[in-house]
Amino acid sequence: MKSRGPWILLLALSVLLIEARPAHAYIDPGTGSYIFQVLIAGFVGAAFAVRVFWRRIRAFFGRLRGRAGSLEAEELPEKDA
Amino acid sequence: MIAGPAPGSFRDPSGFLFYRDGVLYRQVNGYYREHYDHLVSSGLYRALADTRLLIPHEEADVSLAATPDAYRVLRPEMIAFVSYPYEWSFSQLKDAALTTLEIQKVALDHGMSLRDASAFNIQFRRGRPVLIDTLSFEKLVEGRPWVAYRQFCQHFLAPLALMTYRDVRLGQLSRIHIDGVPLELAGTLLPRRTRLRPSLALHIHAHARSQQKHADDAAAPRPRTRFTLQAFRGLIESLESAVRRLTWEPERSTWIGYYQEGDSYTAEGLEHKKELVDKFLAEAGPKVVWDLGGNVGLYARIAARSGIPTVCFDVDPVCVEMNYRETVAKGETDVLPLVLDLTNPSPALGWEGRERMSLAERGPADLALALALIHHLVIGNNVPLGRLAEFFRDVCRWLVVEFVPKSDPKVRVLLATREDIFPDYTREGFERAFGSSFAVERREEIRNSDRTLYLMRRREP
Repeated sequence: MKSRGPWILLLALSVLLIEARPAHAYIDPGTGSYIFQVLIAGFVGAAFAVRVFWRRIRAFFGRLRGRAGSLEAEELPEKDA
Repeated sequence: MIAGPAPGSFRDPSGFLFYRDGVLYRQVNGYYREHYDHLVSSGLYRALADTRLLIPHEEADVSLAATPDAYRVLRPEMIAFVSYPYEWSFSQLKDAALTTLEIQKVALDHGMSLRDASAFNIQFRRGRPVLIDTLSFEKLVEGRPWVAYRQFCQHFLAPLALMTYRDVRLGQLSRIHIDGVPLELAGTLLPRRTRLRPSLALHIHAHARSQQKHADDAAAPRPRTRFTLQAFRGLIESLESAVRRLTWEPERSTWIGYYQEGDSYTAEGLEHKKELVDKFLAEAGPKVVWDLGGNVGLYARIAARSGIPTVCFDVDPVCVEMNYRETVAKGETDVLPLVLDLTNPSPALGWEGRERMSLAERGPADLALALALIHHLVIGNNVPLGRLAEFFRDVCRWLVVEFVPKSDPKVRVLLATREDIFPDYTREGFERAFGSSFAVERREEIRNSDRTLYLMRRREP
């Protein structure tokens, strides 16, 4: 979706601005990954819902026009993330 | 005769691999009972095995278990040749990544999820990637993020991004970092412009920052947003999209135009060599062939054509990539291309150096092809002929080897910039050096060249 671009960037950049601390012996990469997923959950979930919606729209119109699975249905390069 | 768990198989309380009387089994412990039952009853096992995404197994008698707390004993189908991510070309790693994500999608449809997304859980079976860790599935717990997300990003996304945006040779990093490339390392190695690519900015750069920020956090905070199934599916699709967008188009390499360049063989010579290889293979009748320095697999395919599973090793990632793309395009099942530097082959790695096997531990092959190879090792790399013979003795029972003499144009190129300290590098010297380890069964000169092709059989003590 065209309007999502700036938000993706803003989200990603905002996390980048968080001060990084140097790695040391007790580092636990698992916690950060867990939290990160929760942080982006709403965003990736919403993006997914939108993609599914558009696929259904395309499939619907593909059927309407009587073409079996138009090329557009799945193969258009979609907006990132 | 039983041994304990197989050397690499000890970290998982759910079960482990072990050998009994030379047969490989996977023990499922009581700890995993609920998940294993769901794997079967939900139809997930069937769905994945039938679509060739998961290695199939048979259930064996529980009495064959290695320890008392066994719930089930499985006999998985054997993988013909075990290979590791640092031996794969770009597209092999990419296909392994996409397979992992595909499996996760199917798992979600069946109320399950992968606990691991390690590249070592994927092997190549008849040319295609499959998951071999049957016990990696767990029943889906609503609201919880993907426990394997970090591993997926480190084992797959980071190396693929590095190979795409920096250099394909960075695939070798997984030899050093056996739990995947650390994300902050990937972050520093990737060019700055990757921070503008949303998928990489998210799953590598921002992800890395989050890891570092929470490195000291003892307890994960209560999430304010639940991690819904929709978010989960969105995450997987986001990763899939990120992987699909990573492409690598190889530039010209030293080796890729080798057969077209023509100063090694005339067309007739090339045909003759192919006939000879075919003839020698038929005579030796091997069940497994290793093609060492196999380039894009021209001769490996002669073996594969006869239905012989062939592993085709080459040092050049471009050749291996082209070879693999051909196997995919033609649906070939008997050729496995891999990246390997014979002068520095894959060592044994991991805990106690026993989790990942060295090249030698995965042999010997019935027959090895050493075509247009040995002059690179002897003259190019200063390996004495005698040592070379010992190497082959450990690696194969039959050997089809091409002797390329000093008069050959290719060897003259090698000697042009080196001092000729190889007085024994003659046909006689070669036969002498190999004579104690191998018996010469056939010797034929290749037409229109000075090269000689041999079929040798290892002498047994």
